[in-house]
Amino acid sequence: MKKYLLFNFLIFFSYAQSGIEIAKMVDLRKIPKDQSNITKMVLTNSKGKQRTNIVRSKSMDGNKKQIMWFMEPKDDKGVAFLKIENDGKDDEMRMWLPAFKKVRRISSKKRGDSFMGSDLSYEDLSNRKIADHDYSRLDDQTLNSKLCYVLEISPKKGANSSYSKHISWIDQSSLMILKEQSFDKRGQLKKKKEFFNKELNDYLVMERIFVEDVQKKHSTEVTFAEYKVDTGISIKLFQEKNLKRLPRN
Amino acid sequence: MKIFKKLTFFISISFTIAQINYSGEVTAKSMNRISNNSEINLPYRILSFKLGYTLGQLDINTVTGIEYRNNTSKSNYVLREAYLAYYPEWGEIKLGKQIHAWGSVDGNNPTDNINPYDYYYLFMAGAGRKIGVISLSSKIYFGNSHLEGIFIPKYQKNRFPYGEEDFPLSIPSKPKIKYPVKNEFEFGFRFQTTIGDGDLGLSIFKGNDRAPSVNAANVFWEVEGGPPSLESLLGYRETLVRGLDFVTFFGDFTVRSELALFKSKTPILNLHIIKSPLSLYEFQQDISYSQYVIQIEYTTNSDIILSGQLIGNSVQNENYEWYHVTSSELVDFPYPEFQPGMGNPIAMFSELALLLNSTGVLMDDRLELKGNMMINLDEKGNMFSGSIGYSPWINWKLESTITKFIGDKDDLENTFTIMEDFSNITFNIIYNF
Repeated sequence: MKKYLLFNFLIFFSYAQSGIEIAKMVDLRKIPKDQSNITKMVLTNSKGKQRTNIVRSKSMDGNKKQIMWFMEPKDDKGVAFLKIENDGKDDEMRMWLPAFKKVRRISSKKRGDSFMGSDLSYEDLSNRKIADHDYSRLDDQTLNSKLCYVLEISPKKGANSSYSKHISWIDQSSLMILKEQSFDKRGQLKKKKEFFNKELNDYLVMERIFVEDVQKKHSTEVTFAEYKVDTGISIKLFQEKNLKRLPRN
Repeated sequence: MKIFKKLTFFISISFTIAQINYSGEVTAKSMNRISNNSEINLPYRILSFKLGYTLGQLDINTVTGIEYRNNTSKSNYVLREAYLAYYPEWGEIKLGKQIHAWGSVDGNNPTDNINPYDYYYLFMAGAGRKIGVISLSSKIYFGNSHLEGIFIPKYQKNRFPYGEEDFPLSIPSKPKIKYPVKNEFEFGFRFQTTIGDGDLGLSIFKGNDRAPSVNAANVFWEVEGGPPSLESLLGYRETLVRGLDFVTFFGDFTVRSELALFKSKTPILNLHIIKSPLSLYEFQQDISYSQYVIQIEYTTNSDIILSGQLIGNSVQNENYEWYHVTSSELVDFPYPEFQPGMGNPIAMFSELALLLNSTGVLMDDRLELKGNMMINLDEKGNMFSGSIGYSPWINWKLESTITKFIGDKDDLENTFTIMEDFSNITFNIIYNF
């Protein structure tokens, strides 16, 4: 009887959580202090032709500070990208263009622009600010044998977004996102995203993302190799000068 | 022998723990006139090779190239950059032959006067058209700001295509420089800070003009009482540049802008008056001029980048004096036309010009389309350019560009009229490694 009551209590508690509370729980999930990896993006067009981009990435504060060095294709080798997300004001994004020998400040307002020609936009690569969105909880669903929270996430009026809403499937046990559908401003389905995670040093980290732009009939598979966490990356790494130097590892 | 062994050991160890990066580009190029399909024979970089060696906080970087002419098959090796860079926690220090870049607009930076230009590559974007200078530079970062200082001990001038029949703005023969630069030391400082959502830069640079100008003249009269004939004697003016640049964002638009104020003065020649010929007259020019660029850019939802640049330059104040070297008597000789010796190279084409660019990529970056237009708002003259680049295989690119200059039929001195015969079609095969 006690077990039955406890089960009912947990079910009630689970259902009692609102969308915003789940979003906060996801936001408070244990994440590494810093991360580094080699990110490989395979772009596939509607005719099945593929193109590969490779970048070395280092980040901290849950990717709020991120620096990337482009390695492939060769004509982009040496180009580097620095992103610093700021609370209360626009993100700061800079690119090192070796052909111009210049660090170029770029706009973070056009968040829907494609990143390296992939199906991921700068917005997709940034953290979703809780304060800028409304969260509605939909009926829970089971995905790949995992019970998931399903949230409808809509940017608030005035928030800088290229989407009208997202529907996200979040694993209830790990609080990791497993699947997401993103809708354009007209409310049409734009992107389908699938996330595959792995355990690393007591953390759950993404090892693969598959993104399909259903309107363009184009997809991008992102895989993360040489994944390292908590290596002690200094905040000073996220400075302009480090864009010019490809790190050894 | 022991020293040699130690050195070998040190080099072996350092290469084991160091990191070596390299990248480069091989280009095969042809350039033909639109008018009669004849080949335009100018040199181009057939090979460009970057080599970097990193050991801890220390880098050694070199950029070399091979310049090649199709018609003569002659090539020459060019060391474009070779410098040592040290990156302490507070910033960076670089020493050696370097190319620097100041300013916030793309390509046509009036505040960027540290490196001279290579006019053979005038139509190339970016660092490719600059010449490396031996310099010591340092950048200190603090908060959202940084301060950069650059010191150049040895003067370097622009490279002009002298006697190049195929280059329309070529000077027929290399002018003899009578008065080389005396004070070769040049320096500059630039401060950049983030204000709101934008960046603001302030700079100052003191150096010598990159292009020669009249410093003095031997004067003679072919007919007594007639107009004087002047044999110009060239040198380089001293110029101080104060610059301001910023980048900011309005909605989906990015605004970049630069303003440079130039104060240029002919150096006092310190002539040996007794040895100077009686026909020698010194020219003193004190001139203030400005150049500005306003750039607005926008990316469409289909990732087409549109940008426009309004480029202007004007003379604010000019004082000229001709005087006899021995008697110091002021004379009323004609003043040579002012040509800026520093600043944006576009200034040689127009006093007010509008540049419109669009770039779009299709087929997963395999196909790149570019369109450029330069409209001379000062007098008649336009330039149109369209480019198509296709990458059939990874790291390979085929590129074709058509460039058309349209001048003023009634004005043969108009720069665009002179450039009309340079209207061309180029074809490049590029391999990146």
